[in-house]
This record gives sequence, C-alpha cells and structure tokens, in this order.
Amino acid sequence: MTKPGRGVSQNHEIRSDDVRNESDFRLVLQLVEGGPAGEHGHMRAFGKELKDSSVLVSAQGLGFPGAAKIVRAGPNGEPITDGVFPESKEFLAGCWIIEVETVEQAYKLAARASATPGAGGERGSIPIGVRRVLPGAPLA
Amino acid sequence: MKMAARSAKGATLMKYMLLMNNMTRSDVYAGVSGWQQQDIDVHIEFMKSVTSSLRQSGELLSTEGLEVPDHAVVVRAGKNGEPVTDGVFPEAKEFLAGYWIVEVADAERAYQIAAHASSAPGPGGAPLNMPIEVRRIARPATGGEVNLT
Repeated sequence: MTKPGRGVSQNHEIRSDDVRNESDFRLVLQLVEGGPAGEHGHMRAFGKELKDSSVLVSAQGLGFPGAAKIVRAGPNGEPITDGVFPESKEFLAGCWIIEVETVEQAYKLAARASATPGAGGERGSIPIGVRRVLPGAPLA
Repeated sequence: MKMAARSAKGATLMKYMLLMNNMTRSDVYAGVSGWQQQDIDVHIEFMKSVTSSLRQSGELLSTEGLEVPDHAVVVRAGKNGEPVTDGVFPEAKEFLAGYWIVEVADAERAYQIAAHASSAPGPGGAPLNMPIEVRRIARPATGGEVNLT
C-alpha cells in the first residue's frame, strides 16, 4: 500500500468542515465515457503525474462494453449470463484509485483527467465520478 | 506496456473486472445496515472467502468496496481546468458497490467467479443472486495491455 499522497500541491483552502480529512483516504475516480475515446497522450501524462506524486494505488482502462455481460448465480450457483447491452448510453471506461489527504485533492485530480483533449485537441470536459473506498473494505 | 501473463500451461491469461454495478438503494445489498447482525456477519464472511479463494488460486489482482454514494460527486474540468463538481445524487438509481479484478484463462472462468460472488448470502442466508457485470480490461490491437499509467 502506498502512503497517503504528499506530492500533490495543496494550494486549496482546507476548511474545518472538511470531514473527509483522514489519513487513509482512498477514492475511486470513475471515468464515465459516453463519447469518443480521449487522447491517450494526456491520459498517460496524467497517470505518470499520479505515480510520481505517489497518490496512485492502481489504474485500469476497460474494454468497450460491447462484450460486457451481467452474471447472476442460478439455482445451483451456475453462472447465468445476460447481455450484451450495445445500447447502453453510459458506461465505465476506466478508473484510478488514489490515496489523498483531502477530497479537494481528489477533485483537482479528477478535473485533470476530465480535461483530456477530445476530437481536434480541444480541452475536454469528461465527467469523472469521485467515490470513496470503504475503509477496511469487507471484500478484502 | 506489459506482455500478457501466461498460465502454468502456457495459455494467455485475460483480465476481467467484476463489478457490483447495478446496486439500488432499495436493493437488499445496499440495505446491509438494515439486516440482522448475524446475516451481515455471514455475508461479510462469504465475501472474505471469495477474496481469499481468488488470492489462493492466484487469480485476484485487486478488489475494493465503495461507500454508498451519499458523498459521490461528478467532477468536470472548468474553463481553466479547475474542478467543477456536480452532485451529490442521493436519488442515483444504480451505483457501483465494489469490484474485483481477476486474471483468468477465459471468460467462462470469469463468469464462474461472478456467479459465485452473485450467490452471496442475504437475509436468512438465502442467496442474493445479485447482478455482477463482467468487463474485460482494455488491450491495444498490438497485444499487451492498455495502461492508464
């Protein structure tokens, strides 16, 4: 596990009501993609920045949802698959898990990812969901 | 870019993300706090056993559970790249509750693991049979993996 991020500049004001200000503060930045794929150079530079500032826990890009299935357990626990859902409007394109000291840091980083240039190299404005990871996750 | 991992038999392994992605507030899963303590304990033990068996088989790459989305926001870059936040969305109909990333021999194995997780016990120990979305991790056409870092 990486240490909570220290390398990211903190020129934002930390308010006393910043209830999220805990030492082990993991967040998922969800890249929700509805349009064309972003520009990979920007994403790579952003990924490197996260890594260099030691806030990055992990990062994944997902394949297009053209082959995605929904799976449920059948009566005997066997997999029952449903899908593909080619018409789904919004889908998860990837995510970053970061460890930071405040949620404002997470928002700043999410904005950096959001600005990934799109078609024609214009500054993008991709929506990035920011969710907190459960401390002491029951999955683990 | 890394080369794709191989199994002991030399088969190329594939990475999948198993997402608890269709949870709703009315869903029994999201309502874990309303369950009897014993049901919660049994459920959590089951989830831990899913993780430990995947760890033992060497198929687990990572797993996380997420908080209910009471504080989740959507962020976009503003004109000067500053974060513009939108939300909270307390009425969000479906949300991601957690995920596993696994490395397996084929899609069928990923579906098997998803079905096992789907059968996690709910109230009274009855299987929830919750929906688990199975998505492959992206790869470029040249082989290897797309790496956001």
